[in-house]
Amino acid sequence: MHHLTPDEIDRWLEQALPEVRVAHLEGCDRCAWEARETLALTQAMGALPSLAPTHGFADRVLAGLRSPAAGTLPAAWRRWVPTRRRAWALAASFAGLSVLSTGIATAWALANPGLVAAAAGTAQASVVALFDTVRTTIANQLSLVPWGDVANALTAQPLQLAAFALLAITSYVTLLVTLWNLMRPPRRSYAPQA
Amino acid sequence: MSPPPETGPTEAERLEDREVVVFAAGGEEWAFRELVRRYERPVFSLLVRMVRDRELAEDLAQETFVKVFNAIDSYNPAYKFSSWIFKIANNTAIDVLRRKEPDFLALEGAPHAATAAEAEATALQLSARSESPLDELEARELGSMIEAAISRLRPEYRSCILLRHVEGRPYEEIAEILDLPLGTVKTYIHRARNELRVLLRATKE
Repeated sequence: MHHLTPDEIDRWLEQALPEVRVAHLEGCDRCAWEARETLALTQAMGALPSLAPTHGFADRVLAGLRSPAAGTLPAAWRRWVPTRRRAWALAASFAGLSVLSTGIATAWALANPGLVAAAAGTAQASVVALFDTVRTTIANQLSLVPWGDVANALTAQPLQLAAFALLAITSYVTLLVTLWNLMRPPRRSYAPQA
Repeated sequence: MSPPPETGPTEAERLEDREVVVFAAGGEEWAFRELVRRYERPVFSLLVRMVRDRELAEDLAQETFVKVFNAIDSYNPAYKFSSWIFKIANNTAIDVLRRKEPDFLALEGAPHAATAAEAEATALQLSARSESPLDELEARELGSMIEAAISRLRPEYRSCILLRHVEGRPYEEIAEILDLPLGTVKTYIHRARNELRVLLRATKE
């Protein structure tokens, strides 16, 4: 008679092996040895202790959920919330540096009000001048375009107009889809597969 | 959603996983705590034995629970919750192992332990299941040998054998957790058992 297969040894461990095969086991040294070895190993593994995380684990998990209101964030953004202590430490370091540098800058600004006011005045004047230049240039350019002629030309060539519109819409949609795919976080299903 | 008025901590223990998940999805804190209470030990045990670093395993366990709870709305009650959480825990461990396979076991303490006291503090606590000190010592030694042997298995074999013989999961559930065909799971477990026997025999000799 054939020796026991690994599946049959599993069934013997579960006390579900048919009597005929149990009889073989009792009369076959090789299968008996194999079965005893497997039983000893599985019993030893089953006796390995259950390990527990350190005290306060549940609180830390829940704190991780509450951190930047993870529960209220959209699902796509939750992946950016750090879940490990090391990641939190890094994020806290960056936040600390930001606060520190902002504090130093504010203190410096308060200590040098004249300098700050002069710099702000110059910057404001530059921005206003730049805005005026851009506005004037655009207005001038637009006023030079013969809009009536353009409209007449376009309505005289409806096929070209349609082709141009189609091309423009396609380009726009392609650009949007590309941007969406680039910015979308990778999706990962945690549900077990059927 | 609020639990029924009579649903206290003891009532929570009587609920099935999928019922607790419904409350958790409704934002009930007791439901989150109940799920952590039910699964912190099995998930942490699996992760410690997968990555062999207690501190890292705790980080990964925390990450696993946060991932599960953040995606609790997408839980499909057609599947067992245990399969879902073990799947995430295993994937989290495999991701870490792919990045860096640690080359030694943390049974005697975390790899970064600088002093003997620190190593002792981070060592795996093997509970005494025997009665005499000698039996306890033998159990500890056997347990240590098995843990060391498991750590030398391929990660796929490690997941399979831990889920089957340490966590006591049925073959079908292991196949679901690991996304593997049932036959492959059985083959991996049989091979893992053979490898473990060889490794243990070599250790004893």
